[in-house]
Amino acid sequence: MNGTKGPNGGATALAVERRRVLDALRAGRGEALTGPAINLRIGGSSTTHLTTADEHLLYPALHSLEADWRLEAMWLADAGGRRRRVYRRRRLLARSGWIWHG
Amino acid sequence: MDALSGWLTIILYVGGIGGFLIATVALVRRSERRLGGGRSNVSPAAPAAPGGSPDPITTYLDQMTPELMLPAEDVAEVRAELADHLGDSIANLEAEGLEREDAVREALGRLGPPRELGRQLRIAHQSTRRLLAGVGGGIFAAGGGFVLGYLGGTAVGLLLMLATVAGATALSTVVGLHLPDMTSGDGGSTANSILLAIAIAVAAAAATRYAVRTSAGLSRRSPGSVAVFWAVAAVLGFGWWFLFAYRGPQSWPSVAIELCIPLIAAAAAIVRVERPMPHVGRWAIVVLLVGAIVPMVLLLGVTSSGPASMTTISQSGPEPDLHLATVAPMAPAAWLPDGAIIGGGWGSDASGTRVAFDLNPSLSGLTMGSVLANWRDIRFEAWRALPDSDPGSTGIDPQYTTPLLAQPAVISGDSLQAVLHLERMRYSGMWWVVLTGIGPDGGRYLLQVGGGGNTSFNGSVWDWLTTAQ
Repeated sequence: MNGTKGPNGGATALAVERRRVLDALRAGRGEALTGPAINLRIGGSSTTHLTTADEHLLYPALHSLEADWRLEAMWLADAGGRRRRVYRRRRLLARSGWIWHG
Repeated sequence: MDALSGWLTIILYVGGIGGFLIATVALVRRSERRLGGGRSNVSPAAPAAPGGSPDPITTYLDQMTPELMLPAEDVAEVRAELADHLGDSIANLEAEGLEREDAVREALGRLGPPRELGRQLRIAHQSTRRLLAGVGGGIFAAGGGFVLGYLGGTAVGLLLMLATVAGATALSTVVGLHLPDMTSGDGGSTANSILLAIAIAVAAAAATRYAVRTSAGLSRRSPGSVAVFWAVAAVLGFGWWFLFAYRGPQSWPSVAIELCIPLIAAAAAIVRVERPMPHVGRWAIVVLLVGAIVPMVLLLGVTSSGPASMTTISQSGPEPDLHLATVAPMAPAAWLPDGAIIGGGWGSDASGTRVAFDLNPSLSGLTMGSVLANWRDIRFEAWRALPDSDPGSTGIDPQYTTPLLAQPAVISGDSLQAVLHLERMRYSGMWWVVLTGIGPDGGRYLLQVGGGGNTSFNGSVWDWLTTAQ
């Protein structure tokens, strides 16, 4: 992982955000979520619940987890035809089909 | 069954190479798409605000983008994704009662400074795992690129030679100017060596460029940032290989080209490396392989000469004038009975020319050592021969007073043997082998005459540069 250890060996803010993202996706039981949806799940029902110190690490966490093969991402079209990037946890055995209620 | 296994070998060989090349092209195309060399499947980023005023979201993304330093497709994906996120975030904040401007400011503020976000995203994308994937993919693509470049370089070399021949013919016919004939005298060895040098120069350039573009796409780095690594690797790798390891026909023009190959490969890694590679289709590879390799393999199968073998040459004295006086006077019969030594034969392969002269079987009770008791410093000598193009003459070229090569003869049973490394000499052309020795009076005499052959240099560039002649 990149930059997940602090100077005294403790977890950095990025490492904490990565763990929260993984927990949010684990709770989804294999379904795919967009970045804003993961953001909501981490922060509760309202976006105002999160502080600015957390949200700026969301996409670095998502992309670093994808680069480390912990997550897989795909561009899918929502009901309105708009393409959104969704994430899900990567499994050892590849799964076919993406479950996303966009 | 032998024919069947031969065909099976050919099919597996061609199929294996074809599969390797198709896999290489697929890998390179994937990297090219990521670097922006192909169509992107990413939605465009947030549209500009109406009225022409600068859109704060676009401005934020534009400030972030220079810090990303990622391939074009990754940059487009990041921008589109962040634009989506900001759109959702602003909509949610407006739904909670914020004014539009305040919602935009709040949403942008939560993502933090744009340059810092860009830097964090770049670090996230350029992981160690992807770097290793880039190195491995680059090496794989370099191998396939070398093969493709070699095939393409051979085609380029053949076209250049055809153009040269056509131009020389035109000059000769129209203007009356005759250029030197590169195909006579050395049996076309110079032309072959130049063709090979051109082919491997193109191959080295293609291999290096494929490596740069592929590794950049896989590791999520810009081609310019990985080019220096591959340029250094090309200079060291190709430099060592073509200077010391690669062995083949050589000539001064081909040596000059091969000495430039490391620089050509380094230039291919650096010069305009942001430009995408030309696309090579899979069917083009199949057609190329079927059209080039299969006829070549068939031709080799039809004309194969097998392992080098000793051939028997005529025992009778030469009828035409072989200019033997150039070498030495014939040995007096008192010192060496006429016909005591007969020509055995010689055989040539890439490791040298093995020569053997035998004791006449009719001399029962005698050994080679006893027959040559009066002689010392017995050696095989290879002399330049008159070229085939002169039909009225044959034998040794009287212009030369010293042999090309001399090698002490070793008695082995009833034979005198030696290995002449004519393939390590720059001289390419006809030669004639004789056996000489120093007689009781201290003079060198001709003991027996062998036959002739054709030789061309086979070695590395270093061998060519350091050979004595």
